[in-house]
Amino acid sequence: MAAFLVRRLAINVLVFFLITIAIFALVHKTPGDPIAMQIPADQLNSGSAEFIAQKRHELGLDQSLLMQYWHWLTNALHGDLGYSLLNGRPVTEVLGERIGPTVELMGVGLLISLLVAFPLGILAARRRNSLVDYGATVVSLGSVSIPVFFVALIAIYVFTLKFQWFPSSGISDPTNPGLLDSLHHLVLPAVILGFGNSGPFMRYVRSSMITELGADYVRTANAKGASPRRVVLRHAFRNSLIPVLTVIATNLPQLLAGAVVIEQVFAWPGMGQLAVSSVNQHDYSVIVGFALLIAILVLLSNLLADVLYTVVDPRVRLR
Amino acid sequence: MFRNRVRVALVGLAVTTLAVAGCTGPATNSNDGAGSAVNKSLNVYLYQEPAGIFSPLAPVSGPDGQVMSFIDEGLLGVDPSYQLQPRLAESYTVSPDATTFTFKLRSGLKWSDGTPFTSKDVLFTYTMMANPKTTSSTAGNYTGVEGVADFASGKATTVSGFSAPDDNTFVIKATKPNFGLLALIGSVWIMPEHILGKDAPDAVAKNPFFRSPTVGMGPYTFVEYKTNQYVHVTANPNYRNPAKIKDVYLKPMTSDNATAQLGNGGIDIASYSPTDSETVAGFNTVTTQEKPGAGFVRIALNQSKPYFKDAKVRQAFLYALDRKQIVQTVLGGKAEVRLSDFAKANEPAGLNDYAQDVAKAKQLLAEAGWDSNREIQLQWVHGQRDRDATSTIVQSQLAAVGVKVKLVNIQAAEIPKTYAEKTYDMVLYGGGNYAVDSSTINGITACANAYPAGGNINFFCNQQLDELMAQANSTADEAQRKSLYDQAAKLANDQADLMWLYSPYGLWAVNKKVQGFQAPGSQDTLFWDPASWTITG
Repeated sequence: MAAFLVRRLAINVLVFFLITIAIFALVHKTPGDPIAMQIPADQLNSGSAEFIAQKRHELGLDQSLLMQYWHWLTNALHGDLGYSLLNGRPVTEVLGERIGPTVELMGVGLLISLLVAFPLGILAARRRNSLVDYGATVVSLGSVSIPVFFVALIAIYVFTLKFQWFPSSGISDPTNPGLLDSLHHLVLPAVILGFGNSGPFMRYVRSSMITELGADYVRTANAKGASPRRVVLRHAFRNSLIPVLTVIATNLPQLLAGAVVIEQVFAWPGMGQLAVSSVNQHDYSVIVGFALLIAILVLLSNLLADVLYTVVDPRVRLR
Repeated sequence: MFRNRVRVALVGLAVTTLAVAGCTGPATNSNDGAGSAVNKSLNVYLYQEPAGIFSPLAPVSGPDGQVMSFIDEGLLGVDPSYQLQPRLAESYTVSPDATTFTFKLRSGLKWSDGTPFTSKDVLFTYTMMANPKTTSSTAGNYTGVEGVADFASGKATTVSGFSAPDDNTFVIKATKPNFGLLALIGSVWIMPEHILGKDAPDAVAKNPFFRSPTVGMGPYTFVEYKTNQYVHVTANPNYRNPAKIKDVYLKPMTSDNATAQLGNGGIDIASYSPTDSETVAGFNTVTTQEKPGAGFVRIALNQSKPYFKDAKVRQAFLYALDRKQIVQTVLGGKAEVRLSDFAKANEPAGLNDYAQDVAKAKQLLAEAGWDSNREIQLQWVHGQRDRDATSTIVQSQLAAVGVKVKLVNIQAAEIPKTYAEKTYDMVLYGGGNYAVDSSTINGITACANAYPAGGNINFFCNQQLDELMAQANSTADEAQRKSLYDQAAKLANDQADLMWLYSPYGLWAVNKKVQGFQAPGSQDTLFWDPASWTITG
């Protein structure tokens, strides 16, 4: 196991470096100048050209791409990811204040989607081709096909406007903050997110359970007189978790990429919002920092998935 | 057995959720008492997330500017009807030859931290703004002030054109007659010399004060900006006319969200889009206000291209459009058709309204020798509903007169390059504010202001117009200026320097409990006189 981990980590580091080069080059090569676009045409004055040149020099944008990358890399190895081109704040600070709300939203969303997916999936597997199964299929197809922003807008209309049950924006009410208020703001976005993600999980659980329920040991357990519930939940369920767990683990980077659409609609101050706005404004440092974070997470979560697989299934050995 | 586990799992989920929510939500409870806090606070919608740099040195940003309209003031301010009103200055005079501007400051004014406000702060601010070393994005606007050139090159340590003969007087001297200078630099937000005065010019812009500008001359003081959530400002007890509403929260969110929250009371003041007019009218808790905007949506024709040089072509394009219909269908009538760059209030009567006349358009194009096989491109930044719709309508109406137009979506970041390389044909965009003083129109029409030297991105050039504009700007005589600008407006209207389309109205919804709010002309215009707003009931 140890040898495997060391080798994988070494490969990950190499891949990581290649990713940084690719992202850096791509981001800087996109057409358009982030400084020039800060000044719309009707505000141009005789000093604008000098202002733009000055700012570019200050931010090091007039150096060659290689020099810029080198500076960035040497700083990044010390934990300094540079400064936002828009407001000069350290990128680590900008990313740091967004991670909390995103983890909160996605974490709860993930839990909700699993809470929906598992019971539905198990039920559908047990009563295959019955009304329950078809119903679950419709629900899972719905969750995948109906655009999330559409559901979100309907939810805002119904729950915020008509019934006035839930607030529709932000993470808290500044005049009346508190735990209950935070939860109140969390309900709509988390539930919609959870619903949207539950479809694929439900299908995985269902198919994995169906495979397990056809296995010999299940037959044995049934023959021995174990109750159906015991067979399903105590025996088959655990074994069916194996592929599902790896799917969940590889979906972890979603956690930090953030549910972009949900965050936009609900004004949730998370990473997804940051990604959209920094791309729109060509904020190179933030885009690179953000992409890096995702790259690290993808690499780590893949590693986690592989390790988890061996832990959960003793038949598999890592070489 | 399993039930236990389910219970454990559910408890675990609940605990996790509570822990995570508790850790990331705000840590302290406000101690105002929930009931009274609601009456003393106002929630205002911001159409975009502020960049977070609340500084007059930074490039103009709509939402940041709107925040600064609560916490800062200038010598003069622009009211919702685009008139210059005295703010920190009690009065001002302009010499008859329009070279000297004298401001009498109000006496007894204090900064929000109690420090006395004097002309020293004004002098400091203006010197800082005129100095290119501070990376002031509007430094170019100060080149009309005497002594700026020497100051910028280092020959002088101060700007001779800025002087503060005593604590309550500030004088600006222009290099030559320039009445428009008043509108150009008269409403700059004044910054505290006692906090920023010690910084070297190249360091002042980076002073963390601008992230958290807790000292200002405005009716409110900055408390905090929770990134992407809200900006919190609170009433400034040292303001000359203390605000009646204690706390204001400015919250960025999508327009749909804001409209929904107008309905449930989460937002008290918000601009809304014409498509939401019916919804907003249906809320019985809000009233609506409309105000004509100063900016206008327009199409610029690249006059460095030979086929746009002939005025007949530009006139033909205008005759081809039915702009009244565009306003009706795209904006539900909530806009006014424009006939020139001059604000409606400043325009003379009798301008050509270029009402749709397909026959005339075809005739003019024939006279100009337009090649009907030529395909030209109309570029614009996608994303605003009215502009997207207008582009398609323009394409079809031009096609009806035999002009082939291809629609091209472009990113905001790519636009400057198309100007610099003069590669575009037609570009649709909006904004601008030429309502305060017509001299600002020079920025987009003067030959000398061809991009990148200025905002004349369509490379229009008419010497006679430039002369009229220069003459109008060099006298303080109101009647003479009006007469000269009227002539200029007629000339520009005849020459069709731009395809002026429409000025959308600023549409604002205000909760009935709020009194005194005066709607600005668009969602990104500064708020006016927040100190006079009150909450009843």
